[in-house]
Amino acid sequence: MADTASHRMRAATPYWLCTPGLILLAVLLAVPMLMTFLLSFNAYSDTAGIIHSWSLANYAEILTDPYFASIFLRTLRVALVTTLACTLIGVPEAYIISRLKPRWRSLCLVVVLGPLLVSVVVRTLGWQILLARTGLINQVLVGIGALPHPVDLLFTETGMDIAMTHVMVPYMVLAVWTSIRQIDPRTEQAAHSLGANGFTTFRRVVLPQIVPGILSGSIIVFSLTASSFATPELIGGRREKVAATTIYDQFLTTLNWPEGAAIACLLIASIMIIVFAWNRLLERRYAAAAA
Amino acid sequence: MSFLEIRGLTRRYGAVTAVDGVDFDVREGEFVSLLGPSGCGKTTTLQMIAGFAPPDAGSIRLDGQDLTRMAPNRRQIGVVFQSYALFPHMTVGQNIAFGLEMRRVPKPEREARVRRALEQVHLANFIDRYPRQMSGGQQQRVALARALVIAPRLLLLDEPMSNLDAKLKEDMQLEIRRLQRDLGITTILVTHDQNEAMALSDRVAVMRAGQIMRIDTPQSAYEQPGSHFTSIFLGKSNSVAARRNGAGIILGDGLVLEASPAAEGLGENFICSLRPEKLNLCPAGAGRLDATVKSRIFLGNHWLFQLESRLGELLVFQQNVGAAVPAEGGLVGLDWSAENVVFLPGEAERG
Amino acid sequence: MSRVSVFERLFHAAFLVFILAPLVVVALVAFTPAGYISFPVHGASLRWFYAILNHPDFISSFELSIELALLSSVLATLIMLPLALAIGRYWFAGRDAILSFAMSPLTIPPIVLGVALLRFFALFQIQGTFIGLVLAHMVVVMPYVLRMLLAGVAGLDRTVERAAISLGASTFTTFRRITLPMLLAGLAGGFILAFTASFDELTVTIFVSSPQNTPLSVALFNYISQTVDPLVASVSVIIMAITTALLILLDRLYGVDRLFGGSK
Repeated sequence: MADTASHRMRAATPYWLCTPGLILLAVLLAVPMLMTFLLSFNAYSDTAGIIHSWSLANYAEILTDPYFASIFLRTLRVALVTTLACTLIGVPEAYIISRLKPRWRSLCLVVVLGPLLVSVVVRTLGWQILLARTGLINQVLVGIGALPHPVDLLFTETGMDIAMTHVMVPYMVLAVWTSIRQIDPRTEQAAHSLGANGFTTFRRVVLPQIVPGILSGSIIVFSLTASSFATPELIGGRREKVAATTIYDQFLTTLNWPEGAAIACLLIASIMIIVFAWNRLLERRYAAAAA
Repeated sequence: MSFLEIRGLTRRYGAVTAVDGVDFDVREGEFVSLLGPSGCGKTTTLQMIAGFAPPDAGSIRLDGQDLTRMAPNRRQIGVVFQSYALFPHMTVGQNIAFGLEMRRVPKPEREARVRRALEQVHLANFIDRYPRQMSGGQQQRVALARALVIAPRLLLLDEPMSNLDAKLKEDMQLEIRRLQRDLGITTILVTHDQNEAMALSDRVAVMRAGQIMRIDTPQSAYEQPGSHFTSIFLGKSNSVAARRNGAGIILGDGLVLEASPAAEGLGENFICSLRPEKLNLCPAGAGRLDATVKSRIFLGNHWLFQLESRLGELLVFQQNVGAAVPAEGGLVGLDWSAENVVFLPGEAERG
Repeated sequence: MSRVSVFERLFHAAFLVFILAPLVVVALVAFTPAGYISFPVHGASLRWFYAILNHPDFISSFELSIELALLSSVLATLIMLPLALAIGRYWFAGRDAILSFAMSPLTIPPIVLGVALLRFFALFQIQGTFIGLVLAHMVVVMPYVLRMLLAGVAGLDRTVERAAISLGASTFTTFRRITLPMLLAGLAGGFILAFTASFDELTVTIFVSSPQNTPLSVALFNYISQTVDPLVASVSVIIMAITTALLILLDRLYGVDRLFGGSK
């Protein structure tokens, strides 16, 4: 009947609508990623360029060479420290913002989340200026007597931690704030009516309910930090290499693309494993509350 | 041939049959309501007439034309939705003009008709306002004007007044009735409000589980419901089990009732329906049976009594004529006249 | 909710200072009269803004970034609109998978996406070309556009479209006169967000740009890597000004509160 034909046509409509987008993604995302994965098994020589042989040599080298081990370790350390710092200052900040009057709340959100829309280069430049030997932080610390003489913050891991925390904390605030907004404010009122003070209310009533937000925020911060390039490159420089900056060197300086691809694959894999484990750990602990 | 002919209209959703072989006719200029509880299929029937849901079987003929498979935008039917569905990015004037634009009506005539339509619904000054600047009642009138301005052959109203508060609802009901009479437009109203249906319609179609149980004038449908479901959906009713006993009828646990031709053809067991307003209170012992007043509620122009009797719990309405009324716990007598007894087929399920 | 204590206010103030410090410092340094970066800044001068005019490479990079952002945002919006409509309105097998796939560029580390695209483009010898840049940025901004469009499509009232049809509008006319205008906020928001994301994008862009085609973010990055003079600060201020303007535009057309899921 004419009805089934038009019904079939209508049923196929969504697929037609998705076609341009899917083609674009397949060609510009799936294929390049696959090619890179395959590239990691190739070899490289200075004279012949990329050799299309297949072996696990790159992976073997990365996993056994202590140089690469130190790089991955540093990447992990910076990511963990940054995530921890973002959680420690981001969670309270999100809670405070949620309790401001609406007008201030909107303003503060724009101030805290706005930097996300400013180029990371600009933000990192600011830290370059602040962290320098003659920069503001050193001036202040020496001035108030906390330090005997200016200390190296630029091109150190600590400097990277500080700058990365700045870049990442808006993500944490956003994730936690979204979670806070879903809490019934009356649970806090109930706690107050039962005699709990501000801190206890936060610790016993609010915090358990925003764990999903903290979880998602920490995952975002961790993955973004572990794979971050611009800030480690400008603040860490030659001395403090992380995975992303090493990949950059391999692809654009050394030109050993296969090895660069292998590092990239290992980076993704390790992030996924850690995030997955972290997810399961917290899910099991808070499954009852989250439900 | 009627103006609107619906024959065997059916619609299924998977294993559920929402509309099950519905037949009815509507005369030109008539106001018919589709009345029933949620899930009875009234809205689905309306959607099929409008063209938003394809029927699985059956036909729809309007003024001789077969509409069954026609695209909804060619049916020349005006629809007023429950949520009004005004175009938020257009002014009131632009909203109303839209249907005329689709018909390529030239600008001067369009503007004149829009103005006239707005005057009909008493919103002439709102022509440049946006929907969000107007109240619910005003938006509803705009939706009505938008549907009427295209001079449709048929007007469909999908529970348009369910979002209005009580006072506004009453005003709108009168407004719609007046407009419909003045313009003479054939109209179908879908509603779950039986008072609304009875107040506005020339005929009421009571629907249940995808079928029309009864379609008739409000008074006929009320006094002769034809089924237990309809008797308790339209107004309140006291339903008592009844059985044949020789030439007579026995109610409940043994109250004898005189034989009635109305009870013919209903089998051995059937239902006796007594409307609360048709029962009269009298002194105990002076009526057909006695009852105790369980509770009484004052409703301004009448009293509602809940009585406990040998026939079970009974409801009685008594008009407030200023006389004294029986107190709670008191004993009263009940009487009724034979012609006010309605007999209905017994049903497996009693609601 | 409970009132904010003094201690919390101090913490909050310190947090805001932390957030704003780098940006404020850059803004101040941009106005330094000195010939080198020093902080604090003594005096004010526009010399480093005028100095930009002596760097035609920055100016051409700026133009390139604008063209790139415009083109990639428009194309991404055009391609994502039908997809958003499909996902937002229909139930079909594979819907969730397609949605995840379309949002996946957000989950791939930019460093990995950058090298992957470099590898892919090298195959066709288009690495470093303008086309390559546009294609790369389209992939990067697509999820932003899609998210905004999906929110817009979800908010559409289907009965309004039915009303239009009942008044005689064809499917196409309904889409053009009713659906599209109701989607305007989502479209505008998606476009501006995509434009901003493209304008700021660095990591992926580094790998697919070349000396002939260097967007502003990469030009700035290269400059900072080698030299450290106040010129980078003044260029940064220009970038911040543009971003702020875009943010204000986004708020006017869409509402920043809605963007971050806030309530007024």
